[in-house]
Amino acid sequence: MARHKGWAGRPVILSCDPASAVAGDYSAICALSHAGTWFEETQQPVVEVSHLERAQKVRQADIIGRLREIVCWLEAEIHTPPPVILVDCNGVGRGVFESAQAAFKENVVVGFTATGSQDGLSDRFDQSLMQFYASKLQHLSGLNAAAEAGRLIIPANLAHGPSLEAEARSLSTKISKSGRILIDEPNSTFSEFDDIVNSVSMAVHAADTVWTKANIARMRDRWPDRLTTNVEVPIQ
Amino acid sequence: MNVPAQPIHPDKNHGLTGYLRGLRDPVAWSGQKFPGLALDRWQQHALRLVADPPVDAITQALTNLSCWRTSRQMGKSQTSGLALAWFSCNKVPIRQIKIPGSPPRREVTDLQPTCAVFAAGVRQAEKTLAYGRDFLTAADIGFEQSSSDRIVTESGSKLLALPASSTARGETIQLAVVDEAGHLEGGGEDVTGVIFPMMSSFCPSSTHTILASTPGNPQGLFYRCVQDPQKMRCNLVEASVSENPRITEDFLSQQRAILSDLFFSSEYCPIDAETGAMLTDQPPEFWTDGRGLFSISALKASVTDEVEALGVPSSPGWG
Repeated sequence: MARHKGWAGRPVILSCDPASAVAGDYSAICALSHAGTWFEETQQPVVEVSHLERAQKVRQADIIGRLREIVCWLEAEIHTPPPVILVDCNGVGRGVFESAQAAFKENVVVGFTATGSQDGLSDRFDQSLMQFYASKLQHLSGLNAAAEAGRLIIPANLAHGPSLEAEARSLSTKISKSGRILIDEPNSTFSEFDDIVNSVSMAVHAADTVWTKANIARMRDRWPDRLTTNVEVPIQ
Repeated sequence: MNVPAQPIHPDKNHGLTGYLRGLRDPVAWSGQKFPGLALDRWQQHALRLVADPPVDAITQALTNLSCWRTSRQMGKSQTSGLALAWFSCNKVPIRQIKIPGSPPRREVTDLQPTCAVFAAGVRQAEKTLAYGRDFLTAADIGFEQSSSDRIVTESGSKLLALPASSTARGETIQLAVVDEAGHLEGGGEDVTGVIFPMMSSFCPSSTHTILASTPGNPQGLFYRCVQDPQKMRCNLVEASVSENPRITEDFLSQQRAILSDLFFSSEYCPIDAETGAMLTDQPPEFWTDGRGLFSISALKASVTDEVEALGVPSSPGWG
């Protein structure tokens, strides 16, 4: 019987970067959990990449089905509060986001729309639309900053941990003719992907916004039985 | 930047000598008018270049273009405001008259200088102009007009806040300050074509253009001035964070934790690619093409075997 130390009841963001069922790239899912501590200098949460998985050529309904399986397992077995579900809303993700809103009535479902901004001035969370707006450059830079600050934890036995590193290594900047910083997107035709790193960095961006100390305190009031730390939970 | 410190002698700041010195030297002038103001060495050097630009060794022309490449929080806007205030109070436009057959003659004009701040947005230009207004007010200079984007002093000098776009046309100016010149759309090349024709041709030796910015876009006039100041006949002033006593190690560490390497190295100081150390004695860098977005060493350092991954049960097709 495996045991997960300190895992009971931590808030989780389940982030999904869906891909087309006919395209060659992957749909990726990341479970990001709050490590229970804070990076004091910026008051941002220390986060753990607790799970990563991906699949090729899956339909929209299959993505929703898989998200449902993970949500049920997290709540029933790990006793987390209902995970926040975050879906990349660009392209095919829009349909997955709308389906998730209809399918998960007990969870907060949030969309993530990538903008063209490079200075972060247009980054915002629109509560009425339940949408994050941020440029890809900003949220990927945010993930790097989290790693630099030492507030990102990646378990050594994480499946796709090496893929996360490989994808991060392949991402670079390019300067457009008009002087904007762009991401040099990987070419999926040549088996270059960024789905894993994208799902993780969206989740970290959302965590930095949503998991403030005040919000975590509110969650603890709401789920006092679940938000306890340092409890060993038996896993079959 | 190796600029010798030139302390202001207290005796030289008063009386007629001090007054005459202030006419020529903005550092001495600020010492007289704002005794509590401490200017860093780069600020003193930059201001003196505006007041007394050197002569180009090859062309024998005045290098009346300055380029200030500094990190954030170094006081660029404050220095720009001081330059605006000093220029509008003390700079007397001098006209050079050339008559065929006789040596050129220099003649003092009765013009009053017009100074303009250009920035990507008028709001940003107004912010720098506000520094100029504060300095003029502190120096007891009266205003005939004062609004957020326009100041006319009692002596007739004009200070304007203008957008760095083609709509700025129509003024003749003696001092142009282009704020955040390294971050203008398209490198600011189209804006250059608007600003430089506005510089007064009546008394060109009394005009000056300042490009002040943190580095960003690796194209455009600001970039070219930094890359080859000699070819551009430009006075390049560079300042690193180590020259600013107000920027502490803690502040830099906090910024490093928030910003990515790309932005940190263009806003504050470069980062050593191998060790990850902050090179605080070097000025910030321009963005580079093909630069990796992630610090792989930091990502590797995030991997630990002290925590376990969640064992989410697998599902067909997912892995």
